[in-house]
Amino acid sequence: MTYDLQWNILWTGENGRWLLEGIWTTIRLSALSWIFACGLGVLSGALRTAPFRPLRALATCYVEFFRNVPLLVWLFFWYFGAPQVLPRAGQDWLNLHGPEFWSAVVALSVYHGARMSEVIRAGIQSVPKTLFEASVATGLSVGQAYRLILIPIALRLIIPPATNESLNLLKNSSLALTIGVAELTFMTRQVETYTARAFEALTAGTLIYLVLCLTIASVMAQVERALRIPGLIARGVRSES
Amino acid sequence: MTEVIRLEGVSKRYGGGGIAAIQEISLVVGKGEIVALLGPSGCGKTTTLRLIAGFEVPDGGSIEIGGRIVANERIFVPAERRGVGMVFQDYALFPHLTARENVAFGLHNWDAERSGKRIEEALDLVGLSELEGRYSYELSGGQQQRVALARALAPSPQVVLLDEPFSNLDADMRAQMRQDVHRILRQAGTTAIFVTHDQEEALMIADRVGVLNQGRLEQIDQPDVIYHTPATRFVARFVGSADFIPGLVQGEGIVTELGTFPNQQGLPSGQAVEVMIRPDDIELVADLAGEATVVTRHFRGSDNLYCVQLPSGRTVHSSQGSTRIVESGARIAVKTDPTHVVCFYEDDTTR
Repeated sequence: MTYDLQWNILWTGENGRWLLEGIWTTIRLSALSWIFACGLGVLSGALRTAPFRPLRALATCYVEFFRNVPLLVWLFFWYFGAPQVLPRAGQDWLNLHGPEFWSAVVALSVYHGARMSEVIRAGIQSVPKTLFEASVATGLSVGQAYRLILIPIALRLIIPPATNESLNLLKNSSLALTIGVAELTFMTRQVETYTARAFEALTAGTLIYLVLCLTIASVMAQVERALRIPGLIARGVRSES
Repeated sequence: MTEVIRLEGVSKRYGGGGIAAIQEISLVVGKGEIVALLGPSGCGKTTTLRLIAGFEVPDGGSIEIGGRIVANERIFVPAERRGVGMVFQDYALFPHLTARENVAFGLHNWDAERSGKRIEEALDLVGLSELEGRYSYELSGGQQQRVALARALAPSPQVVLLDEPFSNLDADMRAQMRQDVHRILRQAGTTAIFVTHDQEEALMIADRVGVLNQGRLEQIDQPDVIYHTPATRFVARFVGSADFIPGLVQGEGIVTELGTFPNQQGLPSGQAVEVMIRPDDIELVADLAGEATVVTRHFRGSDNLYCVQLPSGRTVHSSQGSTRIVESGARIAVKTDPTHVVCFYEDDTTR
């Protein structure tokens, strides 16, 4: 028995629209979570290296708590658990704006924020210590030294591992189907169910994820090229003239 | 002389009260003065500089900058509020900023017009106005050093601290930068403290040299005083080189196997001492019947360093002109110049 490939099911009927909606939801979910994860990551990563012990401890608690629980558990927690303890107004807002989507955003943000935090901490710690000292010696406060010197340099240094983390976030967004977010994997499964064409539907899903990830990777590579500081990463110091 | 820096009995321990990095250091630096802190690695010179900068908290003593206490047992003013300029061994230029932006950094609180003018002045002072748009990776080591100096000088700090400023430069660039940095600091009229393990550098640039050993300040004085009348055996050996030969005080003279030296310090008769002899104090006189023997000769470019064995078996060193060749094993007579004598008691370091 040979399997009769019918690629046209991907764009016939509702299927094409479903897949496009799935792609759009995956992009929105990932992009929003990515922004929050980066924010949380930069903040907690910077605090992990701060010269004040209580701030370091706070950031360490955040990282260890959120990265050591499986993402799936976080998704269930933020979808089934957390909304119940929200005040009335918060619950109403959620129900109006799609509780699945926003729970997934929170779960992905805190989980990947914790992971991003470690990447950023490593970046900050690889900036020579004298740069921090030089900043405060010129009269910058510790906060200014982080904002103007350490973080801008660290962010340039961590583009490769941050790319990796960003791709993981996009791929992990597929888990949101478990709490009913109609993202790409969810829609792929829906097409499969309605058409009974599993091979075509899942091949399409696979290729779409691949294209999304390759696009992100190539954009990040260009960002890296545009922002690199030659003397800093490749130690190419010019010889005495 | 106006005081800019005053350290009183400053101590610092590392590792939970363990190893003493510096002990009871007291030091006063006047306005416009250039002071070198000289010593071997691990002597505490960099720790002293970092304590003044505010990167370390002292365990004892007090530090004043410009008459204001910045550290004692109750007060600690953080680095950003001390108004000191700092030049680092690796220059620590901000790699994502141009030379000009680096210099501008210390002036972030100034209004645009004044800071623009000041940036021009600072870049001009270090002779880098042409290269202000370059990033640090586009500059040579010497140029990076100048940018670092301009950045430190731009806010007109009360004192500029330089940590091993020349150790990352090639030999010829180092000689050039020593002169340039000295000129720039003088021109700016800045008070400066720099740390070095290179005695030649310290003697050349500094108005006064402080010699540190094992966390203690052994002596601080003008370069020629340090060289000619070292306070301790360590200083004698570390600044220049020195041999010590035993002597016995007999009235007006100190008798040694190199002859009798005047007893300038009025030491009591019968006192056993050690007399410091520098290689440039010893003259070798061709004499086939001489009592001394040449052991080795090391050619050093500008001179020959001879190791000579005395009749007692003791060896001393002598510096001779670069063209003066005496073969190893030759018999020779040794003459000394008795005009300046430094002697130490045998048991300790007191003169």
